Amino acid sequence: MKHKAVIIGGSAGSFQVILEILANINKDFPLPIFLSLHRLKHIRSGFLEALSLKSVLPIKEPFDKELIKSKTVYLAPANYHMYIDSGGRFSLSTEPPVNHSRPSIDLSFFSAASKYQNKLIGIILSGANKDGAEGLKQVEKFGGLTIVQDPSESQIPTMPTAALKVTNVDHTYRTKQIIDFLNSLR
Amino acid sequence: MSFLDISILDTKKVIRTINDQYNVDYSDYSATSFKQSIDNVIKINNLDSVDNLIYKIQNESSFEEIFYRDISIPGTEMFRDPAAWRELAKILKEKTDCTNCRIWVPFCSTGEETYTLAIILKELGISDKIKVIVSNRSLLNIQKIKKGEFPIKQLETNNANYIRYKNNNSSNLDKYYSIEGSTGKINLDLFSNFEFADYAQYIDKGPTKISLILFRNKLIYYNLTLQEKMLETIFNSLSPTGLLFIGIKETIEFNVIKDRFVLVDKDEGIYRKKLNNN
Repeated sequence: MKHKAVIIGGSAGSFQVILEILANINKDFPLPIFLSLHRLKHIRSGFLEALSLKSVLPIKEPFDKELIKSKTVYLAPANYHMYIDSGGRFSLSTEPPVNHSRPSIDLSFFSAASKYQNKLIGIILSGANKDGAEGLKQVEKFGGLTIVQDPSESQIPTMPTAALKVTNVDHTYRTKQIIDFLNSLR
Repeated sequence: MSFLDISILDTKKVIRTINDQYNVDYSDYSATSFKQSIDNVIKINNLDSVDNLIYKIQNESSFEEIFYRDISIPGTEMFRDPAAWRELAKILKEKTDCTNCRIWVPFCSTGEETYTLAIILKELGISDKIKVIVSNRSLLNIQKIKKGEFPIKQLETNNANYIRYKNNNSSNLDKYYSIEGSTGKINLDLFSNFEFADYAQYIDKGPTKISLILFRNKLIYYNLTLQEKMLETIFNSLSPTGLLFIGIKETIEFNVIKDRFVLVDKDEGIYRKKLNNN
């Protein structure tokens, strides 16, 4: 397979979309999937459990320096930034929030883009701020593949619209198309 | 927001310059967050580029202390992860044998952890029984912590965490600080038994006979090699059965030294030094 990893950023209105993707992706989808989602920082549990109920792939919050495995979904832990670091391991960070967000979608995308370069697929979903736009632009810059959720389908289109503004994206897809696309990767 | 976009090559250049000029080795720091930190130093000091930063390191000796201050990641909030602090308080409360006990806070950053600890010890009524040693590489940061300073924009978060820590909505941190301008100041009487090390802290050496080490969300900035080194220092500093308290998403599971510790609380990141080991 040409690509080595998928990274998805989302905020308000993205939860149902993520659920649908995780519920309908091929059971043997071979790449790691990173989820950088805005979430309540004081709520440690519940979010992961809700996602794992529907997900056909195993999903977890990585510990710092955990090795990245294929066929696994990784959710950025609450109140930490999540980086894909050299050596194929996660690095977490408590650096100040960026765009009022920790995890910051931009920072996760930046690190993933620099690690996987043109072998990364970056996806921006519904959300109420512009976090992720610069990150997706960086994926494009490194030759990766960029997808934005169709703003007309997004519950809150601010984030997809901001990403479309700065990035010449490969695809603007509805949820169903995102799933079909991922499942068609060879 | 715009990122400075520092390349791996530039990062290596900065690391080499610091090593040459300050004799401090940052090459085993986590790559991405260190790059972020360099970016941050450049922004705070209006340097515009990596080359300007390198020039400053090479030509202005007064920049060294500023560099240590600005490269360190600020602490996030007091009582971050309230349940973890509650667990720690429970353990401290049960430690009835604690006379002449020593707690160490290495690389204390901007003080949030230190202030949290001071308040917990006060509320447990054991402030006078326990000596706390606070150290950092940045002497500028130590001076600020010594004065109990913290940014007031954190007041709300700090207090929300404290309410969760106490499990009581009417709790309020305000009895522990005063406000001067845009700076909060922790009451200094909380520090009556604190020692603020006025020496620069290094990774390979620490104080000894320590009962508890607070090292929350610091290992995340090291790669596994440097983690191993720091954990060795921590191990050597701890008394037998001494405790190590790290961040909730940190683990020593990927380090060789893990076998010399016992996991006390997986959810809250608390380990104990094994009793019988070399």
